[in-house]
Amino acid sequence: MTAPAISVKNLSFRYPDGVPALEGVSLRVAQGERVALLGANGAGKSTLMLHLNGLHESRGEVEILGVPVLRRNLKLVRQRVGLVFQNPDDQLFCPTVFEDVAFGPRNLGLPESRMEEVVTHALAQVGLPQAAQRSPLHLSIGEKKRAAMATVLAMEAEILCLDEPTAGLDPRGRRELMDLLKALSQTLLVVTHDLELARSLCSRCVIMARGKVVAEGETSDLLGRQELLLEHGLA
Amino acid sequence: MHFTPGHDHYHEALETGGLDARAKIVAWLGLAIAGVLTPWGQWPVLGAYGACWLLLCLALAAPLLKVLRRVIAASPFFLLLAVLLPFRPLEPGDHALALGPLTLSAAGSELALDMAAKATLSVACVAALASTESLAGVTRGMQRLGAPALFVTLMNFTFRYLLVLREETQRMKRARDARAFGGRWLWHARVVGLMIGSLFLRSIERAERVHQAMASRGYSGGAFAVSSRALSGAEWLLIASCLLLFVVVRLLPL
Repeated sequence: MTAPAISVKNLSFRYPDGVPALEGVSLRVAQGERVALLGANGAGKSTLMLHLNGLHESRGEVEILGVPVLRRNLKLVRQRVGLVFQNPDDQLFCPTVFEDVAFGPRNLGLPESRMEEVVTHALAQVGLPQAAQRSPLHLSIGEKKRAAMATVLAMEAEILCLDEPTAGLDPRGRRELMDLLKALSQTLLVVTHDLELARSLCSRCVIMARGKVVAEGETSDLLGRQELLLEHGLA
Repeated sequence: MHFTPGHDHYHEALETGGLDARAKIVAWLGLAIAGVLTPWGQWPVLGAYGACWLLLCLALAAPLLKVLRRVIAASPFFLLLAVLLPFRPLEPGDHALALGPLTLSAAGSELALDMAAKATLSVACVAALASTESLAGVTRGMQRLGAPALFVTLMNFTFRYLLVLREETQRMKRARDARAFGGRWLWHARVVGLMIGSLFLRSIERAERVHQAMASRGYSGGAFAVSSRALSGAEWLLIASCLLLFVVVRLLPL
């Protein structure tokens, strides 16, 4: 049996000020699966996402493709899991888009001779082939979001975790991003409250509320249950 | 520098002639250092360095008018330092100059002129560098030249997030003013103070998120790697001829 892409067991986390963010969360995502993680603001979705990359440590078990997320495995885990943050200004911190996309591969030790090729490929994948020498400051939000995607695609991550990928995008930006996501073969975990996105992209949905997983199932089934969506602030 | 949102400050300065930033940094920094090291009172040497500056501007196709505008914009800051020097008390060997009702120290005045000239030359060199190379190029070049990585990283981040912060401030101000805030009286200071505090907290939180984004891409502290290549013949030629020129100017019996 192949290991699941993401396996979270009984994960609990409190912020330093004592506010509980996750309480006994368990989650399993198979390889190649596309799962939407739904929930109202403050449900713990983003906090859970940070755990998948070892950015938060707490009680419970997190495994990525069978490898436990522990300090000694961080490099491997961070190569396998690409996090795309909600605000692309947090993710794009270099003077040029090229430097930003090259940042991850450089940290992984990719030789400079291959950098140009890897960066060009990643930017072409997200439809920004001309942006390499531009400053992230001067991209539109849609372009920033796609450049942020390129920064993790360049690391050849097998699992992509996207935090609100369509937030703040205009309809065209949103459509372009959805087309891009549909074309990807990686395992996807999409944190969102965009139900349309979940419907058209993900086969399975997980709903979180107050730090707990409260429902999960087939997208078509789950998103048809109006009272469930209302209860958890999704409709 | 004046920041205009939507304007590409990184790339408005084209990388002239495709020369590596390292060559330009050495040339301009070399000229600034040569100027500052000129013993005071040697006006012809300083004048010759001024001519070198013009020559280098022409050689690197720097936009002269824009560079001069930048120098003038920055001049109050460095000229202020020199303004008080002529008023220093007379020392033995000094003599007084009368300027209307004022008595000036001759030595102090010369020192002031010397400082002003050297400061102008240095700022002109930096302004010219900034106009012939993008900021990203300058910081990369500095790192390749061995500038402390922390300093280079800090410079990059400052530039990267200055505009983001500015936009955040503007959004906050707009939100504040939209609720009929005048902001003219002393009791409004509290609101301004709260805004500054909130900007500070937001910046800390942003810093944390940026760090998470960096860590999630395998960053574990230390300098960002930059690619490097050997300097070309043209670049070595620029460096060598500039440094030679600066030394020769100093040694000429001017």
